[in-house]
Amino acid sequence: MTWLDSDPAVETRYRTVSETTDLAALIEALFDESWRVRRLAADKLSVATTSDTLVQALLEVLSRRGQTGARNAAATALAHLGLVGVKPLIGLLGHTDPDQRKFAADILGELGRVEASSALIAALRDDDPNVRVASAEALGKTGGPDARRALEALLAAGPDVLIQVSALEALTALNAPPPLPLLVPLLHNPLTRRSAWRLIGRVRHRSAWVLMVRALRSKSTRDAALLALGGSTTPLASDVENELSVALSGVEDASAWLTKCLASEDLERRVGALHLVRAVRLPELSSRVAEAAEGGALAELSLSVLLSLGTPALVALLEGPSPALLQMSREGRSVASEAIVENSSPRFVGALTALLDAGEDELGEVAVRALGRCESIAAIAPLLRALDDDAVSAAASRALTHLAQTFPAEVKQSLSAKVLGPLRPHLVRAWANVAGLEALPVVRRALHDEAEAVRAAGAQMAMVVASEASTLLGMAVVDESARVRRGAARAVAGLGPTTGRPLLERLLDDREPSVLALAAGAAMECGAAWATPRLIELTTHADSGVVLASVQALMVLGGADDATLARIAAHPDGEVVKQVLQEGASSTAVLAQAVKALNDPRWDVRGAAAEALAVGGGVEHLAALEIASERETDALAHEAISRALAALKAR
Amino acid sequence: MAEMTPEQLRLLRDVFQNACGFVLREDLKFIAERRLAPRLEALGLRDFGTYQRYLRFDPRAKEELEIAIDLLLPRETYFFREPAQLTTYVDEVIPRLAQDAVGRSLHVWSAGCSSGEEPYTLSMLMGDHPLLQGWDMDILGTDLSQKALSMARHAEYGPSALRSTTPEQRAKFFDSAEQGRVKVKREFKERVRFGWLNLLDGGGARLLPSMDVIFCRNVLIYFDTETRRRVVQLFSERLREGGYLMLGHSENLFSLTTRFELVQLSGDLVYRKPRTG
Repeated sequence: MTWLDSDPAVETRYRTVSETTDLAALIEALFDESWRVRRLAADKLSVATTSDTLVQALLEVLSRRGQTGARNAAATALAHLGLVGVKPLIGLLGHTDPDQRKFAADILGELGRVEASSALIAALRDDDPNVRVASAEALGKTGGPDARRALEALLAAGPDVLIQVSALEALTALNAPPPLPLLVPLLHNPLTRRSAWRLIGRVRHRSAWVLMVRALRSKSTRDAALLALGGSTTPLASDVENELSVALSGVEDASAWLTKCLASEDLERRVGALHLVRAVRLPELSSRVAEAAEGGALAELSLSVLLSLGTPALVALLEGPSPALLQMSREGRSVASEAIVENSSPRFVGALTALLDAGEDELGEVAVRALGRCESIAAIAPLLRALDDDAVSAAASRALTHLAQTFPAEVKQSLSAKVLGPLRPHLVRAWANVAGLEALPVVRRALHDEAEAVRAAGAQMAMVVASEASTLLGMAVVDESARVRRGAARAVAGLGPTTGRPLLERLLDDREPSVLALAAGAAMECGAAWATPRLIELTTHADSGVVLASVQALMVLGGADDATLARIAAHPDGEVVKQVLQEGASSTAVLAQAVKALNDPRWDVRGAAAEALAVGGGVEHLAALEIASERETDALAHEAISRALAALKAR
Repeated sequence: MAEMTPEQLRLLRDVFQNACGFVLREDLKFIAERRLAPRLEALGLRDFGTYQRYLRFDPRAKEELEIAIDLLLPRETYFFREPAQLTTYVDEVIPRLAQDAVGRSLHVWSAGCSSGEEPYTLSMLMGDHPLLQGWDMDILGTDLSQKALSMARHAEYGPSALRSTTPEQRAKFFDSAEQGRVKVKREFKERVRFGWLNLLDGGGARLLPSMDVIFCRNVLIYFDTETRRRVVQLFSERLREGGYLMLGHSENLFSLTTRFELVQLSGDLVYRKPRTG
């Protein structure tokens, strides 16, 4: 075993540093012979309260030639200090020691502040090549109005390859491709080729595509050209895809090469490979395509490529003695599953049934969803079985309902035998959806079932037998289980405001908040204007969910006066406030609350307040919005405030 | 399929972050839309704004929150994952632990164990270790997903979980089950126990015994910095002095805490809780 820091003296110093907050001691520790101690000190300094003294002390450490470890540690700490470090570091760019100037450029790049841009552009003319390279790289991180022009000038300056590569990488980071005549000569130099190709991919012009297609034909330039394709995750135009396909058609090892690229750690390489797989249509790579989604960022592209490869790609995922889908990572499976559900077809029934029986809940649900969309009678039997499996029964119920759109008689016949046996919630739902009026005996039976889940399902489905719904829901409304009453509250709106009134009145007086909230929603849905007084009462309920549902109903039904709206808009729950702001901007009382809500601690409430003022406010609200704009730190809320300001100024 | 607006994404992120520290990144919007769309369908909700309110106000909100987080967290795990680190654990950390241990017992915590592959892997490696024969080993796996824990307790796995398992390991540690699946052998299963724990729930974690090793691999990457700090502090409290914290290969404690010391072994860098005095 190798214990690098087995020296007890080092351990003691490490502990001393870990326990101190004294800046001088931490600066001193940057010179420690142990890298662990130095790193710990840098770590602590980077989160210490920033001051000019601290910055100066760290710059002083940077100046100690021969103290590499300490200087690196100080640079690490400086790179975390933010704007306060910019000015002193710009000063350091003028130091007599080139080593110091390079450090300054590196750290300014790490800080990424545009305030350093002009100084870094000036440093591109430094006598020392290392300082020039570091400054070019830093400009790629800071950006700035003149950064692009300065970096382009470096490409033309030649023959300094190192500075050219730095400029290319910086322009890539800024997503600012230079003119093609500047780039093309750099495609031929092995040292600048990769970086130059990456930028070619960012040129949105046919001339760049032509270069790329040509390069893909040659083994020596293929890898680099792939990076050009990897610059964008947007699907390519079909004519470009055709050309790519032609370019790769003569390549013998294309499949093996693309397999390797799809598994690359380099995201751009993976993107490029995905574009190519779509262009050349290689369904046998389907599992690799799905796995390329690893990390999540490429999921959309992976899925679209997989779908473009059609049924053969899905066959490759699903069929065979040991289907690829079962071997894949969770993220790969997720993408592959989406493609299978979206492009399900009758030929997959066997494979999907096997997947359902594979013993993995997640894949079971995928199989059920796909079976529901496969438009095959053969899918009915496995879906009926799935209704008995708690893990997938809800999905199976929806899938059977979906399948019944194509095969109504067959699905109904299969379910009719099943509902003669013990009832389960999702069986009741599926049967009611499929059988309609004929479901009455089963719904009635469900409402008398011992299990509250079954009674709740019966209540929820009562409206399919409209003629008896009132009686059926009457049973559910007086059920001792809140779950069943919730089922009734979800359905009662279907009876309309008059027929449903006795039931809805009872539900609006329920003791259970969750039932009250659903009843308020039902009042809104069926237009029960008579419920307004009770809904106003409910806006003072202790449960925010009840208040929110009541407010939503009141906003739709009307009937709340300005005083009520003003009271609700001052509710402690931000979600309630937002609701009033979003729907009550025609009320002056709400607008007055909107001005106050510009100071709300929640960003979304502040945003909603600004949006309300944008549509309902006037010039008298400009001042409040101006102040809010200056103070706002949240991007989305700031956007809303800016829009409101523009709207009011234009008025 | 419903699209998630930037505001809805932020609101959902806030809900998840408050619940368990999980940060729904903007580049995961597409994945989130796809994975949560079946939930909207199942619950009869029209958009993600309504779903966000459901997660806050519905009586079944807690249950749904767990389902949503379970759908969104990648939870990629399989047996014998990151073999280089496991070799370091077996060859370098265990001998050190065996030397330092008071009595012949070890407590190991696999935090964020998902469906159990990691704690069972540790059980297999430790049960097989010559230095630990006859020792009392307590391996605890915790997760915030009840669904994952139910799978973990069942201890039956498909081919995907065996991606990094050699035929020898497969024969030694697993029994065959139906449909080409495998089941963890009883002797390696019985020393692993599981618990339902949100790593933000300090109170719950304080009920755990003092640990010799904590494995928390590829979990912190889904948390925001503040949550990472809190979780790492919790680990520091639950580890005995001289105990080890094993993170994923791309994870570190830089800028999070100074409560751990970095130790370079011949095969890997690991974190250790310093001894006092």
